[in-house]
Amino acid sequence: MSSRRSLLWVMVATVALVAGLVAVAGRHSIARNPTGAVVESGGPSFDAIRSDEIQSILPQDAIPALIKPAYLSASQASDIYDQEEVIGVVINGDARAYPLSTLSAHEIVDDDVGGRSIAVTW
Amino acid sequence: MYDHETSSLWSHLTGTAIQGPLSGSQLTVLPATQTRWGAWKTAYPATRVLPHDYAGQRDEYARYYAGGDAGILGRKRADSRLPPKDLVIGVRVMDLPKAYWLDSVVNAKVINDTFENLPLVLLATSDESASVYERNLNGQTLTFEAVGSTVHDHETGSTWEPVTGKAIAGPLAGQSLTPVPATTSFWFGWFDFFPGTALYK
Repeated sequence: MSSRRSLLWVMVATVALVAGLVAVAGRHSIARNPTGAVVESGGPSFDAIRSDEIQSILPQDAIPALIKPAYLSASQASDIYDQEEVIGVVINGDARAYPLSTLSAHEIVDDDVGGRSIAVTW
Repeated sequence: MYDHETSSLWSHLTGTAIQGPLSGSQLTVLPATQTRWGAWKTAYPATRVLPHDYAGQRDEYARYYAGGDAGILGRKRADSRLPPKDLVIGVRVMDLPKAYWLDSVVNAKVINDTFENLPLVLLATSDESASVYERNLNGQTLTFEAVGSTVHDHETGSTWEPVTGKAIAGPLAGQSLTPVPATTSFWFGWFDFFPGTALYK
């Protein structure tokens, strides 16, 4: 994330750890329809987190992000098994893969891919 | 998460700054694909990949994935439509949220849907992941179906590749569907942020 303006973000898959790090107040009644394929509910579509609901449980960088890491080509990556799950991103023809095992350890990768500054988050 | 430049705090799940100088700012959410490495490198042979050197010695969350705990500080909201730690694929169309139960997507391999007037298709990209695409192409709405291990559209009979969203055979060969940014999340994480979410299961 080299500057505020270039701060673009790839939301990949989000571990719901996020919901654990914050405390969101309030409850809403939910309409249930266990037999239907599509189930609508009655709450608001979005419940923003208030600043005063945040509790820090780890210091900054306790989970170190990877910033502009080195990559391998597909042929060089012989220790990555075909069955491993990865997050893939393609921007302007620049394809990158992020194994979930690495994302689990670091949670965020900041890099420039295909001319855009992105954060891959897990 | 926080940014080094301003120490603002951001939500992973929404991409919104919620505390600090950038509070209220919104990051652009880009589409990404989850699939297996074998499928990804077949689709994109020139891809580069993060090596395992960076990974920790063990998965710090292995117990968390396997256990019943939902959230580090406990749950503040409940929604029994699914078990809290079932995985969903979440999308937002016109700022309205909808979640698709990952198990149902993986079992069906293909789900055609229309949400807020936007025709969508979810295509399984492995037995534990899926991608979301718009199913309008050149003014035509396509309807997809799984045929064996491949995906076809009813209207033209073209064959589609789930990982790339591209037609690889048939009249539409070479054409691409538009990917829809989507978030894989535990159900409890998604409904905490989007309590009014629709759910497909």
